[in-house]
Amino acid sequence: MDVRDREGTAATLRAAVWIVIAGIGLGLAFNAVGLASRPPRGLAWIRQPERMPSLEDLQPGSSLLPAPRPDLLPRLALVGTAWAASAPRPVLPDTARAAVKKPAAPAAKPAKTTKAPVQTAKAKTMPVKPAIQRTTAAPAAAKPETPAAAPLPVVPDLDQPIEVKLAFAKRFFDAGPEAAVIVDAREPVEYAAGHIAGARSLPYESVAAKPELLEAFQKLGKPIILYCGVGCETSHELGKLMASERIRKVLVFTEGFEVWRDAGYPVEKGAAGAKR
Amino acid sequence: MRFLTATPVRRGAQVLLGLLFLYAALAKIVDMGDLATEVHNFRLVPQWSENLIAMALPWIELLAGLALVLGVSPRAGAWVAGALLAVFTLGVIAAMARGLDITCGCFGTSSVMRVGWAKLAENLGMLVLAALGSFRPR
Repeated sequence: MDVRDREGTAATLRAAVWIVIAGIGLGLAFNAVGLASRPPRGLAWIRQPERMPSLEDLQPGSSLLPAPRPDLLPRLALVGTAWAASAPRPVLPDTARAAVKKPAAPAAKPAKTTKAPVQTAKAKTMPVKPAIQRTTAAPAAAKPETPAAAPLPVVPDLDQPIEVKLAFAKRFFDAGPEAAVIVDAREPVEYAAGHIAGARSLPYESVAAKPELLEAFQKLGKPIILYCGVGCETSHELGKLMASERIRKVLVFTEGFEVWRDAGYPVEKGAAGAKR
Repeated sequence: MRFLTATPVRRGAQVLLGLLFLYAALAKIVDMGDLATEVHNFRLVPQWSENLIAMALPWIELLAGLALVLGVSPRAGAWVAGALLAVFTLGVIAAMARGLDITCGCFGTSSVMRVGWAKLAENLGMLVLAALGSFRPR
C-alpha cells in the first residue's frame, strides 16, 4: 500500500503542492464544463454581491426609486401607505376651504387655487405652520415610539425576499398579528433562550429537511417577517426557500434578534408554542 | 510515542481521514452553490473569491482523500488535509469569536452542524488524524 510513503520531506511537499494545483485545475475545469453544458450549471467565476431589495427603498415616493413599478406594487391601494403620510395634504384653514369652494372656478383651476391660499394662510396665521410641520415630521422619522401614527409600509408582491430594517419591522409588530407574521429562523434552543414576542419558531434546518412545513405559510396573504441572529444568513436562506415555494411578501429583518432586543423592544423566552 | 508512529496506526489514521475527506468532497461537489454560500457566511475572504474557493476546495479535498486512502503519497495527502483543517479550524474560531450564527458546510448540505464547540472538537479530532498520518514511516 505505502507507495512512495517513504519519500523525503521535499518530495512530500512537492506532492502536496501538486495535489493543491491539480485540485484547483480540476475544480475550475469541472465548473467550466458545467457552465458550457445545456442547461448551464455551476458557479459564476466571480461572485456578485447578493443584495436583497430593501423595503425602505421600495416605498413609493422613495428618492432611490425613479417611480414605483405598477407590477411590483399591485396592491398599492389595499395596503397602508407610508408615502402618503410622508407627504400629507396640508390642513387647509377655513379661508382656504372657502376659496376652493368658489363655484366660479373652472374645472382645471381648483388645484391652483388651493395652493395659493395655503401659502398665504401659512404666512399669515402662525399656528397653522407648526401643525403642518408636525404631521410631516412624524412619519419621516418613523419613530417606533409612536406606532399608532405610523402607517404600515407597502409590501410589494416580489418573487424574492425583501430586506426590512428595525423601524419598519417594529411598525408591523405594533400593528399586531393581523398585519404580519413574525418567524424566528434560528434553532429551537436559540428561540427558547429569547425571541421577538409572539414570533413563531421555524428553524431553517427543519424547513430544508421538510419543505412541507412551508405549506402553512402559502395562503397567509400577509407579510412574513423572518429573522435570525447577528451576521447570520439563515433568515435570508429561509426567505429564498419561501420565495421558491411561491410565498410572497417575505421580509427579512436582517439586523436580527439582538438588535431588536438591544433596542428594548418586546422579547419573550420559552420553547415554541406561542403563536402570533 | 513509538505506538503513535507504528504503521497500522499511521495507515489507519490516513485511511480514516481519507474517507472523511472523500465524503466531504463529494458532498460539496454535488452542491457547489451551497458551498459558496457557506464560504460567504464565514466572511473571511473577499466576496469576489468566494465562488473560486467553492470550485477548487472540494477537488483539493478529493485528491487529498484519494492520496490518503489509496496510499499514493499519503503523507502529502495528510499534509494537505492538515493544512485545510487548520484553516477550517481558524475559520470556526473566528466565526465563534464574532458570534456568527452559521452552519459549517464542512460536509456539504448533508450536515447542518452549526459552528460551535462541537464543530471545533470535530476539527481538532481530524487534525489529530492528520498529524498521525503525517508521521514518516520508520
